[in-house]
Amino acid sequence: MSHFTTIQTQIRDVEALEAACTELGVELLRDTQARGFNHTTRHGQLVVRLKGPYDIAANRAEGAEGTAGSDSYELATDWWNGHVAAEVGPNYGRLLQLYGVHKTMREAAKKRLRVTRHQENDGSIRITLAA
Amino acid sequence: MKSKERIDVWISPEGAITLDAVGYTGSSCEEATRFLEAELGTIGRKQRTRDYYRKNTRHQSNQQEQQS
Repeated sequence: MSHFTTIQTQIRDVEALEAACTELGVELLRDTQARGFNHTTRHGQLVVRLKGPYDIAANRAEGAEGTAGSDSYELATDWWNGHVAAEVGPNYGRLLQLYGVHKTMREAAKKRLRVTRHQENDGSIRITLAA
Repeated sequence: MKSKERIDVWISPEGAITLDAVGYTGSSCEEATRFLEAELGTIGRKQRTRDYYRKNTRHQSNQQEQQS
């Protein structure tokens, strides 16, 4: 072992997000409205259309004049009554986990590395990259 | 990547990622994981283990072994 690095996942790669959604059995839509409580909606550059009554909106912050906007998508949803948490975990955990898995596999493929995926007992997923 | 080298990536149920570069010596481990760190998100913490401080090249590693 040489070093450990810890990273908090940020959503930047739309195709990786799409792969995560596919694994969750939900659709990723573009430039549409995300459903919220009491028939309210919010716009998402991307929208994760969940099976329950509410969706997740994903938007990248626009830059102020003269500055670049954000690279990563911020997620927003309606947490009322546990509908969204039941599908993607509290705080989007399951969605972020699967995004991380698919993003890692995509980056490994670009480098032509062999990838294996393991489910760990504590709920983590381990991906190993090798030559 | 050499045959003894590998990178383990753990992704927790909360979406926190831990990278572990195994089988590298010296700072080559940091170079090896840079492409993942740059793409996956914001970096929290780096922790170097003893292997990080071992030199890469053969003649230097002989000298290190005498000293350690």
